[in-house]
Amino acid sequence: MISRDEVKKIAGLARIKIAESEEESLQKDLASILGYVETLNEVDTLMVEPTMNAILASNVVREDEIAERNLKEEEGVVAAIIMSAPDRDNGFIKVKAVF
Amino acid sequence: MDLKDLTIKKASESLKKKEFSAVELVKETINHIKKTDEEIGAYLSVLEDVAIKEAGEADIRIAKGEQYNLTGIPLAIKDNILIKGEISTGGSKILENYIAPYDATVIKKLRLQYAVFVGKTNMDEFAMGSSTENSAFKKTKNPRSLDRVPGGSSGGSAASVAANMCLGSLGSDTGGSIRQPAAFCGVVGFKPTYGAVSRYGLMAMASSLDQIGPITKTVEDSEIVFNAICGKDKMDATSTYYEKSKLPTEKIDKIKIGIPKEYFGEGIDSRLAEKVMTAIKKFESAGAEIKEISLPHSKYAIAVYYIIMSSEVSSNLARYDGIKYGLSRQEGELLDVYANSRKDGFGAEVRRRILLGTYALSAGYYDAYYLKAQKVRTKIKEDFDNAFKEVDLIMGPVTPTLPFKFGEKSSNPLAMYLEDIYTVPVNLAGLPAISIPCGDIDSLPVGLQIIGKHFDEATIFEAGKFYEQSSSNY
Repeated sequence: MISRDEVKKIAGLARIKIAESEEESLQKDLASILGYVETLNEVDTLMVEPTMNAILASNVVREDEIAERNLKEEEGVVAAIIMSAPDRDNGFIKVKAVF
Repeated sequence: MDLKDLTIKKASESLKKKEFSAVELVKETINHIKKTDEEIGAYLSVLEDVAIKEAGEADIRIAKGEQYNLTGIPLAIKDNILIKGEISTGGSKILENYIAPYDATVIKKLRLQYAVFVGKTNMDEFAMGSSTENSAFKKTKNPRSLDRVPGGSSGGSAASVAANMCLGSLGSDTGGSIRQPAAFCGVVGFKPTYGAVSRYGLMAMASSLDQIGPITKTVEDSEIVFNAICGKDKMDATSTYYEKSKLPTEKIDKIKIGIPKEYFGEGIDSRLAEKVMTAIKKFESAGAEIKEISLPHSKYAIAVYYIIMSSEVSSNLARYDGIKYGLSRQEGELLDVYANSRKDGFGAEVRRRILLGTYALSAGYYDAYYLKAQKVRTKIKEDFDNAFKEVDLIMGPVTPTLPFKFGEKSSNPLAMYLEDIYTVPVNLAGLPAISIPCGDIDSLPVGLQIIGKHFDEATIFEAGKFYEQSSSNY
């Protein structure tokens, strides 16, 4: 089923580094789960709509109105959020160069 | 005061009658935690100083005559629910030192009643697991049998209630994570209708399945906590307006109860099945009509759940990237920061499920897995819709096995998959369901599951309270 190369490719997509020693056991685990879910092919879903959400039938929107802001509270939350960042500079979250 | 004898309701009455103060109640609770939790391991953090301060404020309110159902009541909160200024780990190393910058909506609502938060409880990492063994920090022991698991992922929350280390707790349930540990620990665990309780401030696992719910000693307590935390929230677009004054659909003697034949077939411990059936018969004695129903797509529920849940998990856990918060490996380039932070920060089960979900959503596989699973999900929901045309409640087991021992791997693969079989369909269909203790087998607790129609929590609570009163457990 799922190959070792595919496991490496998925790990790349998921941005998780996988040690070479882990590749085989992950391949086995995923293959076994994927094998089990093959049973879904027994179900005829030709004219069936998918259920993305059991309760909501449509998207949720609000009126395009300017809301009241509590600037002091916001400042506090922003400060707390920035404080959580592993690397920061002058009120900004610092990130390595993208390019 | 004896914490063993106290429920939220009783404690509230005692506070009103001034039999003890909230500070005394909370101090007694924390002393008990200090004596008990070294063995049990339910708590990841105990908020002693803050809790005593909150208790003091509760006493001031009570003295002024402003007392709510939960004023001064010591509660434990699962560590994936944010309390402002306190560490929230989600059971993961990647958030080991993460301090929450805001309160979850459920916390805000409980604060309006001057409830007291005594601590954050242990859980499977990011709510992935059924035994709390996947916690990155410690294991939690089942207070009813110390060599056995408390269930998961809300194992700490369930154990803390069962060991009288709080009067109630909050857990989260995506595929059974409130109901199963409640069943394993012999307490009441309730998962509301999807959307009834705001998920704002709950670390997201699978957004179309997650719900926060109470774990308590009694059904009455469960209803008290649910009423405090439910309601539409503008910060959660999936939350719905909830009519708290809704009356039960029917009185117990007019109720129709459906028993799914698929839930009593292969894979369930026959003693458990018998115990659950005996419990259901109590309703029959009171005049309720019991009928066998069929949920024909039950056998596909696990496969559907694993695909949908893993896919949503892979998306939701992308935020843990070593940039905004949490564990961060700064060596190398940007891609290395992501790859190494996540490699070191996530445990094995979390990484496995992220990879499964990534695969199911990837180009070329989306239709075959994710879309297919969502279509079968429709069939599963239809099974329930059809059943609820004939009956008011559906009853059955919570788990197919008794609480298992640490490290025990079931030798029967079918039984292992079936561990979740009775709980996951409920999340897939967005229905409310409760687990209520219905007796012991070999001194180990057994849970009865009561499933209701969307937003018919009232009938579930009515049935649960009837069962409690009629059985000799209470």
